[in-house]
Amino acid sequence: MIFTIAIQEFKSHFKTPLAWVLFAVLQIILSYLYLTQVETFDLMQDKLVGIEGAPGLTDIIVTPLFSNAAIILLLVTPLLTMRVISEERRNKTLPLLLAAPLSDTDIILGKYLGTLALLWLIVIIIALMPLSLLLGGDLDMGKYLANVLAITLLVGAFTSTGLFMSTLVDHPTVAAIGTFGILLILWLFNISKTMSDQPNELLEYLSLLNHFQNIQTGLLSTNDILYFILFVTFFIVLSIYCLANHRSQK
Amino acid sequence: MTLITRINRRIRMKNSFTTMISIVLIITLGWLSNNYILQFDITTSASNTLSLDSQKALNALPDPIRITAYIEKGQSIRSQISQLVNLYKEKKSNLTLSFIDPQLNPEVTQAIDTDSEGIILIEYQSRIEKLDYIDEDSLTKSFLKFANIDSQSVNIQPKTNSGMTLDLSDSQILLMNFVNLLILPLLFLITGFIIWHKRKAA
Amino acid sequence: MSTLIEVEHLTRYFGKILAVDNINFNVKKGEVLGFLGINGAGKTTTMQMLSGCLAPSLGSIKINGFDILREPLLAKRSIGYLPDTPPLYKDLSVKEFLFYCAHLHAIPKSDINLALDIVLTRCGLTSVTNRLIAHLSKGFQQRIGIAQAIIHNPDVIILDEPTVGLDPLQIIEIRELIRELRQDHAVILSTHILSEVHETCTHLQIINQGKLIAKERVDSITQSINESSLIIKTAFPIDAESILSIKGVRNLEVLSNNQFKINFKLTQDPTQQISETIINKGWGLIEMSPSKQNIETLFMALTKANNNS
Repeated sequence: MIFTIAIQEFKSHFKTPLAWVLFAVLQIILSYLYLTQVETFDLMQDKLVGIEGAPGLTDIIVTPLFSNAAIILLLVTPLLTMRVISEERRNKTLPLLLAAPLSDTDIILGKYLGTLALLWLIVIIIALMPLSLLLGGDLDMGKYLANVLAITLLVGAFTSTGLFMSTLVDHPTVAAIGTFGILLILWLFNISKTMSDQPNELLEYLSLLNHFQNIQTGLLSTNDILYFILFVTFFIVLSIYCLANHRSQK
Repeated sequence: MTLITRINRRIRMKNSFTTMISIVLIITLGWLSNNYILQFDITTSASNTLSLDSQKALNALPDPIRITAYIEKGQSIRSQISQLVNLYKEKKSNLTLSFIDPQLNPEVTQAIDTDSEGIILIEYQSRIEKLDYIDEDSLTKSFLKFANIDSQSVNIQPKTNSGMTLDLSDSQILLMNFVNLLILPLLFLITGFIIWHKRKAA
Repeated sequence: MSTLIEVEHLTRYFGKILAVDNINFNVKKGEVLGFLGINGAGKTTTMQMLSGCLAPSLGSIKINGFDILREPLLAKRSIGYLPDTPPLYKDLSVKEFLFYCAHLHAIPKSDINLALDIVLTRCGLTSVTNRLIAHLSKGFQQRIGIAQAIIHNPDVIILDEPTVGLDPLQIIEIRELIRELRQDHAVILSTHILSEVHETCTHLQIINQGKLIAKERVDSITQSINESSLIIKTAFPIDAESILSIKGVRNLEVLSNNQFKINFKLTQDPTQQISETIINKGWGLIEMSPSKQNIETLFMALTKANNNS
């Protein structure tokens, strides 16, 4: 049941030109940033060889690519998730799901996985980019995989927030702005790390960027990975609650 | 009638209750996960793992170590330092790191008699080491001094990263530009257009 | 016959506004219950609660023996629901959409194509199978809405104003479809068109300001109101006395020059005598039609009485 909804949701994105245009735009922006980075490395590699402990190919090209992708996806995800539930409510198509033999959990998880699949497709496109470097150099594959994992988890967190806002709010635009707001605040909590002498531990724990960067270094910690899983669960639980509440109060 | 009312209310309560329990569970798990941490370094160069010498130095120091870095706010070096110190922290729980902005606290800076910014103080028992540059090699060497171990013999090499060179011919780079910036975006756009056009006709 | 819908003490508040007030009723297999009421009477709210889209404030709903709040999944297996706005994904084709609905209602994979064929034929959608829903007329969209409600062959079919936006020909088709469906389902349909109840329903229920004010069998209503009327148009003026003297005639209203309305008792139907009298006296009968306002009279009377009390 969950997968029926998920597949439908996933497919529906490709029935309008939106997803395709988005793919093209993302491809252009990210590959441009990536190729500039490749050029920079190409120019300065002779100097780097002489320095002990200098950053390598992976640090200079792969890590920034995924950091850039994270920021661009922070902007893009709200646009993809804003319509998930709120538009169904506006178009009055939600009764189709509510009157079918589905639990609220099925509906929310189905919608979540469907949208997440689309974003993971974008992640795959991004992840394929640096593999072309293998033609002329060596990548730290461990670090590369850590970067892919980091963005995969991050996108999962973005999507869950977007889904929650879309369940909460009737207007897709409001949902998008709300999602963007929440994500940006969570992203910027990290600022306390460099801006205050005694970093606030709670804020530092809540910061998305902090955990994202931790995983990017290639040092996988259980708390970073669990943070993302708990983050997603939190917003999924809230979304289910919101949807159920929608039935009893109107 | 009252029975039915009660059932309806109970079902609604159950929903709120499950949500509350889940959120409490999430917070608990979050707290636990932050206190009991397992780490795996999956980089090929093992750039996130302390060398054996550093670990030995730490084992020789049972008492608390305090590291204070006098670095301006908002500098990215701050996060680099904490990243490095975190590697030590993991092996030694009573090691603490704090930052002080020298421009905002001129009296502190004068008290420790530093002329330049970016100084790092390491305190162990009553002894103090001053560093103006921090990496694994320098940090471990000061620890060895505290432990009264001869640090001359120790020389921690910075990690060598894999992939220090990129050997691509001009035509290969041109091809990469061509595929990434032109072919793929065009492919996406054309596919999108075809699908849109087909559906519009239906 | 088995009772498929049992509603007890159903009540719904929206904030402090009481939308549905303590409604009780049953629907058995083979019955078509017409839900009649003016706009805003609580029809749609009741239907939303029956379909499980809205939780009741008080009371219970049992579909096929399962409580919709306590065992929603089992109860919803037996429900087909058409809301007041058909829930259609407009950027899908008719076939894609119904295919998805079939999946949602857990029709076994092997049966889906068959179910799809049946429902497309039944709702007259075979000519538009591969068209996008967005490009179809309101009438077709309404029919797709009905198709998604019956695709899984549910025991209980809930239709909220199924004939809105259809042309007369399509209305007749839909009524025929509903009559066909009633053989082995329980159907509830809401409407504010009175003649519709007369045509399709076996039972009639009138709701006003959230309260149920009447529940009757449709065929007994006509009998229970012992009065009907005829509208007559003649070429020449008539003599009212001679009409009133016919047995069964109660009174005569003059509508305009040479047009009259005659009210009479149904038990002593005087239609034949009236026509004979007019022809015999040479008044020139132009038109004689029974006025079909029985249910309307009942409806107006009941809602008015209720508003006043």
